Amino acid sequence: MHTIIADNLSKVYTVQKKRSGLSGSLKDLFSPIHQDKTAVGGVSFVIDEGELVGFIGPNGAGKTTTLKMLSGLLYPSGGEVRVLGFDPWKREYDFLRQISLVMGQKNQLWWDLPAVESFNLARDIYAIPQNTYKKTLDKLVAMLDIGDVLNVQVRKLSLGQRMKAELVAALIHSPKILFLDEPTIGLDVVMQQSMRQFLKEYNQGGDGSIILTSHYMDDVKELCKRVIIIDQGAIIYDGLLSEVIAKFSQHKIIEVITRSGTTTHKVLRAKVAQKAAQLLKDPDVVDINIKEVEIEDVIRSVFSATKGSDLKDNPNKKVRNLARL
Amino acid sequence: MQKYFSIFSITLQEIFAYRLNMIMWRVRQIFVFLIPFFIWKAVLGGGGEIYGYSFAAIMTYLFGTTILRSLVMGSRTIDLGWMINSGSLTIPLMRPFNLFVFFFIRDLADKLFNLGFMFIELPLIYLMFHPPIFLQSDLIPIFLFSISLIFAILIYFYINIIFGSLGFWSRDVWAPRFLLMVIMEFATGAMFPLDMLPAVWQNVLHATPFPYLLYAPLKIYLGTDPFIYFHLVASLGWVIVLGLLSKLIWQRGIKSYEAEGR
Repeated sequence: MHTIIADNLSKVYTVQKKRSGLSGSLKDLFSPIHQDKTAVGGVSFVIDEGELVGFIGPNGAGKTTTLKMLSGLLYPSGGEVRVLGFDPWKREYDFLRQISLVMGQKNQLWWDLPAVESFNLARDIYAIPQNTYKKTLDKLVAMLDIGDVLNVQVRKLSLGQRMKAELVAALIHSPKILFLDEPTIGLDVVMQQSMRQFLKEYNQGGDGSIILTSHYMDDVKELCKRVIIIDQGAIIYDGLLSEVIAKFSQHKIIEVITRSGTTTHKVLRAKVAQKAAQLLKDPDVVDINIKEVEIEDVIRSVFSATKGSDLKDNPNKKVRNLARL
Repeated sequence: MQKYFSIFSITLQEIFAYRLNMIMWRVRQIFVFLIPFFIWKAVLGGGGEIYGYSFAAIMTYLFGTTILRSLVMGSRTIDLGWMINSGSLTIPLMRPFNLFVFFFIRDLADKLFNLGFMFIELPLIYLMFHPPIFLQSDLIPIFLFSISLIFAILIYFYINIIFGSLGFWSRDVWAPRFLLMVIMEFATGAMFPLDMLPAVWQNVLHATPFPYLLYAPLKIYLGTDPFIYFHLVASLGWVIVLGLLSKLIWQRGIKSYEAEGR
């Protein structure tokens, strides 16, 4: 069964356009200019039970907006969405009990109270039986290693500790779907790593789906088999992460190691063998490596290729542009 | 039910976490009594009556509004506009409970907190100023007063939801709220009994929901309201009208909620 079905889902915001300068501000007071801004323009995809899917894209691509529509926070401007068979927007209790939303920059814990109070509140809100609660809490606390800070006021926790506590609060009711919006934002490298490790283990331990957005490629590389690449409100790729490279990059990298140093060559896939043979003829060559282009580079080029172009109306053209990479 | 009780208890814990804030708020309550006290003392302290009120009668009235004020106007829902604009509404919105009940429970926690502290402050105010206290011994006015108090609490709750919901459409939630506060300061009868006003103004005010917050319940308690039943029906009318209006506005507004902050 599909856990999530989105069909031609879109969201248009009305924003006020500000004129520049003081005189502009005065004019805005009397005749504000409103503009429609398409944050998400008709995206379609399905996500199955237990999947861990990453939405990636630059800032303002529409990742978070999509996530908010899936979780029922935003009212879609158009299209259909079904999550666990529910219309998320209606926010029925049976739906809300089965999902969880964590936003990296939003605090769901009670700021002035120890984290454990927020967990206890969640227990009562979700009507979790005491022994199930105890078991889940112990498991999560052990996995995230935050046993020592449960009784500290949330405001006094470090960002990393707080994010871990956020995750406990979000998972205490064992949701079927976990929506994570930029879970590692602002965290140091070690903490990012431990968050990823946790998410990986958590996903393997149950059949809950995790949908995450991130603009850190490392998050996605380590966690997600499947990625949905979104830019300017449209999906430009939906599939296996491992195939992103093959799809968007027509080149491979040949690394040539000589006694005097290492040089790299970017070569069209079709010509790799020929070029390698040619390079090997050089008597100075000690070794050669043939590698794929780094995924970061591929994705970066994907996004920079779409910048400033009018690809919106013509997604095919976008892909054609990308093929040049 | 357990979930609403827990919300109630965590709200109280939250209030207690801000000790200084809590103390200052209590001090403010005393000042709220002091200002009109000294004004009326200057006017009527030497004896005599104004609009049928002697100094003692005014003091009884003010003492009454001070108590009622902390019960009726104790509120956490006043944060709603800010919650919408900052995106923190997202968190309660994603929980399986009724949002109106959530806010109302938080209001009740605030009111209980006020009530608790009143037991300390009232003797203090009493010892300092000796206002003549009127204890109603007749059960009927007490019963009717209780009903009008519940209506007052609901009216104030819905007014807060409506004003807070402005945040769905505008960033400017503070100016309207401030205006509301200023209007309420006199239109509820917090500063002076409304029957001091000319009849025309009394009628105009009674067509708004404000007198039913403090003035009407207090007059019912004192047993000096000649139109008790009429005022009770009018209060109920406002509860229904404002209740429906707040639902309608909320349902419209929530569609344009953008869950900002990211």
